[in-house]
Amino acid sequence: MKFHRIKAITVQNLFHMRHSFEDFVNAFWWPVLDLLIWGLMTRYFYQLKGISGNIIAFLMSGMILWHIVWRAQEDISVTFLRNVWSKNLLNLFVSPLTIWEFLAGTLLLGAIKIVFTLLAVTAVAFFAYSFNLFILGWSLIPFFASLLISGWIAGLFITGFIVRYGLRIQAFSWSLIGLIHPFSCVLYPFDSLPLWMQKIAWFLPTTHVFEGMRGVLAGAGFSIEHILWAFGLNILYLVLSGLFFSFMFEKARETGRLVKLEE
Amino acid sequence: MKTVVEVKNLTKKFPASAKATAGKGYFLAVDNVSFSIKKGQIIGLLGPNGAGKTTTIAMLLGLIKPTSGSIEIFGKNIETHRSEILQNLNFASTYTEFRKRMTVYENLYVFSLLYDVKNPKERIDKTLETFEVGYLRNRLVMGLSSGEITRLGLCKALINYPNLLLLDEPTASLDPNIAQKTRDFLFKIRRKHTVSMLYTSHNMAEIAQMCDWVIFLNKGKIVVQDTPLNLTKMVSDCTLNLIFDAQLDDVINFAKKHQLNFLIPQPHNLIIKLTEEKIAQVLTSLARSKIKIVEIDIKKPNLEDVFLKITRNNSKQQ
Repeated sequence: MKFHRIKAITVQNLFHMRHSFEDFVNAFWWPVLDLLIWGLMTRYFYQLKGISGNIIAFLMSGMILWHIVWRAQEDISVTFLRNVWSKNLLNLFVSPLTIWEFLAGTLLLGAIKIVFTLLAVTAVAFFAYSFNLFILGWSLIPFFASLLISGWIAGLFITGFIVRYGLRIQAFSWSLIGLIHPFSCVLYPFDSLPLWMQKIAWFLPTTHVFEGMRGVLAGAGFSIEHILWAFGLNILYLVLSGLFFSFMFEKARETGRLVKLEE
Repeated sequence: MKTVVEVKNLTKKFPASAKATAGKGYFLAVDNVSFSIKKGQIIGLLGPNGAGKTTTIAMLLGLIKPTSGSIEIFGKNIETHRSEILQNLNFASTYTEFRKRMTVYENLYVFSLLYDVKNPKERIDKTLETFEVGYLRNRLVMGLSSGEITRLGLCKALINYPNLLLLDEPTASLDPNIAQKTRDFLFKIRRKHTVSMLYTSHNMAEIAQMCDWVIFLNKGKIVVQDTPLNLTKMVSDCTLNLIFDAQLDDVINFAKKHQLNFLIPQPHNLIIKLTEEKIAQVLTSLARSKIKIVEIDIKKPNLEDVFLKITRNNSKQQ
């Protein structure tokens, strides 16, 4: 991997951001809008009798942290798609750029963008609803890292499918991540899931992060067990998603799909 | 001369679903193709649509994996030394574009980083001036015409001082003036920097003008390869187009007497198909006859005639 080629992809994304309102919308508009809607809903919950303050913190934190997964996944898939839509993908891949350098460049800027998104959303939550995400303390760092990796894993799987099957499945970029949302226990505890869903949910790293997050908010402390499960599963799935993406890319080279992706 | 590209027995079979496969279970896009490109040589790749030109180029660039055969560029295998090879190679095609929401300069700057170009700003400005598009420097690509995008593609193709250029219809959307300037420039870099090129175009005159050697592909196979001049000799028929001022019967009798393959499409127009050697003989006989010739037009065979002959022969064989 050469740094100048990773930098090229990061710079490409930065140049794009400079001229694109859409990037601003994706990075700030939707997360803030989501927060405002959920904030209003939690305020309503708060007014109901028997609803504890913890539930409000669970909902707000879950909602904010889920954006890390969502944005990280979309960054990989959409950056790839933007080059396909512009018919620029072949120009990139007839240069010495490798697919791993392309991904590294995308992830680098993506991670920075997500930090800014998170800060913006946290600030809005604090000023609009007096909710402070930083009550999670230092545990926020492993939670953030784990969710970021989960988003990248989802991005690699989804982009792998797009490379292999083309633009006809590009809608996966925006929709497929929704499939793991109900299993990830973002807004409700693991125990509330039906048994068959629990069996799947346990093997999602996101579930362990959100369970761990609720533990910290409920005052039960930072769960080493959950974070180990989260990182363990993340490492396993990261390797698998890398192999999957590499396999799909090679398959696209074999079938000629890579050349026809832009058509 | 040093060999820059060595292609041996290159074959590409696409899986059944990719194209009509005639019951074979696969589509044979490139069939046992071998050729080489020497340093400073310009090779033309010709053929009808679906002949395998694009697939061959895509395999040279490492975008498509060959089913069998080998590709060596700068003495290295493309499958194992991809990045190293592509560092000294570049590609331009009418069919690729650029990031639309980025300016011309921004797009080229990204490529200058990808190729690790020293003094990128200077290099970008120089390539833009070469193709007379310096005025587009700060314009968004989304507002450019197709000819301007083609020229941007050529700027990109030269940004890394390549030793080998793969050009897929590089002048297709350019006006004749810019197209000629582009060809002149390509000749210049070939002469000054001994850049080798693989060139595809549907403009036969351009291929004849540019290339030292032409490879005709049809249905994935090399049908024939030679210099443009030798290829035109494959088609022996010339056309002699005459406008005459004489009695039609006299003209017909003359043609029959000399056993000519002729056609009279209009009352004063005689078209004769004949070999190049017979032209002088026929014109001398005409001068001696009482037929008055007002206008003479001799059309010698060109690459287009060769192209048509080859593609028609192949269609007949099937």
